[in-house]
Amino acid sequence: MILLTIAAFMIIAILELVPLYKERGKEKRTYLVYLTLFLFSFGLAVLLSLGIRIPSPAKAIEVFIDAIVK
Amino acid sequence: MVEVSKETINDKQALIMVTIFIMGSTLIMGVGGVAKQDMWLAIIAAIASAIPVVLMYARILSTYPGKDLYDILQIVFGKVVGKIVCILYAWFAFHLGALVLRNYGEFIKTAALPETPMLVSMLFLGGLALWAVKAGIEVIGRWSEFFIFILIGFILIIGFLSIPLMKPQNLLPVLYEGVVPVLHGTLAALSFPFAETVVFTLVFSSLQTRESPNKVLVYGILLGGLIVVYAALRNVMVLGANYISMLYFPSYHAVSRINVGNFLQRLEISVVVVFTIAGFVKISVCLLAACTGIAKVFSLENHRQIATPIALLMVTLAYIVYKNIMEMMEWAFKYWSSYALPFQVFLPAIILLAVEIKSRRQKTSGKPPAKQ
Amino acid sequence: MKIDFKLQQNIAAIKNIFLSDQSLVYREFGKTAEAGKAFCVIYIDGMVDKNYINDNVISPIMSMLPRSGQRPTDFAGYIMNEVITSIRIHAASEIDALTQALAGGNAVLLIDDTFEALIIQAHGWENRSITEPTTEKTVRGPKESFNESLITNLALIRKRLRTPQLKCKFRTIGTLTRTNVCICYIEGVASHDILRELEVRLNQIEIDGILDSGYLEEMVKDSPFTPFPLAGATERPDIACAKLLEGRFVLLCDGTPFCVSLPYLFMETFQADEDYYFNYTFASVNRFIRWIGFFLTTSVPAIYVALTTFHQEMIPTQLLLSISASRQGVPFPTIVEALLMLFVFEVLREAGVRIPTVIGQAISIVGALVIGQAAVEAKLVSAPIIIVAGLAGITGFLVPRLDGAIIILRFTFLILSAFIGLYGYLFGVVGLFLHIASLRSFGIPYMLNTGSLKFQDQKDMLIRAPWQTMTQRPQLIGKKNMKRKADIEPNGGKQ
Repeated sequence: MILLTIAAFMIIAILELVPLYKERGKEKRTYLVYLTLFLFSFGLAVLLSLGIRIPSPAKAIEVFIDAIVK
Repeated sequence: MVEVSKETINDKQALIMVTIFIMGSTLIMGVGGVAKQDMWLAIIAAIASAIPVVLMYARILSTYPGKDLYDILQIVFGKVVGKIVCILYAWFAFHLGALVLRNYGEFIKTAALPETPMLVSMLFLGGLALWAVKAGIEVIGRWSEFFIFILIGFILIIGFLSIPLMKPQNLLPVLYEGVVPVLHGTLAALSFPFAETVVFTLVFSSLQTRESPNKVLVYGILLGGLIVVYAALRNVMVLGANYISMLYFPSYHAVSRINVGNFLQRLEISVVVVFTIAGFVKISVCLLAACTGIAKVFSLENHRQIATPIALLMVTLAYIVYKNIMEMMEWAFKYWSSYALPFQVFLPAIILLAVEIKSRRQKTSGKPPAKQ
Repeated sequence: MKIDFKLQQNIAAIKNIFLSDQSLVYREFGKTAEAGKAFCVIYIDGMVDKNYINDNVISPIMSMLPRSGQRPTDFAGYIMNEVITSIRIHAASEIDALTQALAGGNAVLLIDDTFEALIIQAHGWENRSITEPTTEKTVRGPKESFNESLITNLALIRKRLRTPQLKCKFRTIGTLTRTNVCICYIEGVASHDILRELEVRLNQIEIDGILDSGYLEEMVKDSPFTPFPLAGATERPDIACAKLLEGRFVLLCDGTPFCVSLPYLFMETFQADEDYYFNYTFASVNRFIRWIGFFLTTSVPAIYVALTTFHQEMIPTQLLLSISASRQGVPFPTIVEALLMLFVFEVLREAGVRIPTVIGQAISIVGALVIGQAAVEAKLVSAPIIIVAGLAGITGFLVPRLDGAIIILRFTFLILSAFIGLYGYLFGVVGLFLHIASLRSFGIPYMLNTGSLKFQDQKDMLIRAPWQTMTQRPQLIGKKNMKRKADIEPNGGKQ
């Protein structure tokens, strides 16, 4: 599972990240935003495929709403 | 290229997109369940109350033609505050897309493919939405324009076939428990799905005329609302309000009861088709809004380039957001209204106020607001 | 290089360029003061009409010679205008122009003591005569088809469209083949934006040779990598004229009977010329069958696999029983069976096209008996899958223009539905329409009007409406002159 995840992300990186890296001189900001988002989702995917439960943001919103409404 | 440089969609395509968006997950999840057999009343009330809300959106959009809400926020509130509100809206669109994706995943898993992991169907649909976003809003519009025929066709056929199963007495008694549950239902139905059209203010920067947002949003709400009311009426008349409250996906069960001469049966596949088509449009619009938002916040030229990681994150969020279907249903009916209404009603009201003040002030100083 | 004053110098120069090419014929004749030859006709054997050269070039010059003792000052002009009786002739002063004219099948007349030579067009190569179309046969309708000569093809179009508004723009493409290509359109109907775009794209083509209009079709495509055709092809002049009348452009290409029409819409793949000649009800039924055929050929294997592996409950019990009975003892899963049989079908199809007709019989025997009957009896595959593969294959022939796309779609849908059943198939359909909704042919959306509710947009799509009601040209393509009956202003009216 984890190997599959890494392979999938590798393919995406080759298809999209590498061309962006080559053009980073022109569009540095796009490259940086892409890289951040990509690494973030890659991290999450790896954690998920390792079977680690990630806390849902829904819970935080729940607490927040409860605090305001009540 | 002969192509027009800026993407434009015509009013008809936009209207159809709004209609399909409203049908989105609503047809399958059912709305206003609190109101029991009066849910159709609650939905009609919600449509009525949604119209002033969308008129508000339309007013904001038509004050600055050719701009979407992200641009308007930055014009009205300045760079810093504007960008913070932009991030909030991008998150809202992103979250909404993830929730619809999750609904879809749960639906496929519960109704049809219990052995296949939910992630598979969500990845497929997420991938299609990503493709749609890369292709652009024009393509989504043209796509919707074609698929609305299939949607309406299915809905009409199913509606026709389910007439023999309908028991009008299921709608009685009207207002048995008073107005309060209906009002609760109205609020729920307003926040899901009608006022969710706020997402369109984030992507409709390319409508034809100044009056388009008005026309598109109002007629879209009416048309989509009509279909939602019809679905609610059908479900109640076929299944009965008590039975519905025990079901996660009432439409699926209502349609599965159709049996014409032992030959035409198992038509619930049509519900899946409708949900796939409508859910796809809804997710694509949300993903588009989220990508545009991120791109605008970081002042990027092209929102398509960053669409892939955002789509992946959306699928991930959809996967981790709830533990199971019970939690999803609880969230949808308990927390969603209080979470979504600030984005749908309160913030737009403030924005409209700010827009009006700004344009008045500019009018006195002699500059039209559109020339920003 | 300029043409030399002396005849022998020029002959030597040309001989040098066409070194070791023995198909060139040099015929020197006439007499100068210095007892050398005064003229030389050069041409490539087989490409020039010899009788024409004899009658209209050599004999007039010979009969003129004794009479004139004194040479006029512009001798070449005198020969061209007053001696040679040929329609197409012009003077040239560059050796390059001469060699190109020679390679293009013209005759060249070199004249001693002048700086000019004459190029005489006297094409005399053999052409196939106009025959019945081989690929687009009809029961009713004109029986002529294009042949390999551009000029003949143009005449076939011209004699159907007798209006000065029909314009033809020529150009040569291909650095070595120098193929003549002609853009035809009706002025005042066709859009000038598309014309400009087409010319830009044709100018951008860099290739050594164009041997068929297929080269052009592919090189002017908007999206090079789509399997869907973004330009039409036909060998029937009546179809070409119908496209012109709708405001489209037709590209004629020398050396091939197939012309290209553009812009091209998705729905055109479902139209046939007979639709317009037969009664409209019959035509509408046929049109509808083609749409269903497209659905069946792409979807039947996918739906079959999805139903039998994922959604058995959706099959009526009787049918399910007989399917599982026939699957008894078959070792492979349904998806493998389906892939296998579809592959075999494609092999048979390709083999049927390639092999000479004489042994074509063998293929059908092998296909029907060995692969069909025997495979089922040997329990290699089940009987229903043969029906499925056969149905998918046969219905594919209903829309021949889409065959490339159909094969890809069929296998994609099949694999998707092997993953997650009908939902996979559904995702495939969503993706397919996403793809064709994003296609454009010369800026015109490929799916133009498929979502429209107006009658004038739908009249020629799912059905073929009666001619009386088809009063408008297709949107966007014929927007300059929407009404089919209205007169076209000369020179296209105001631009």
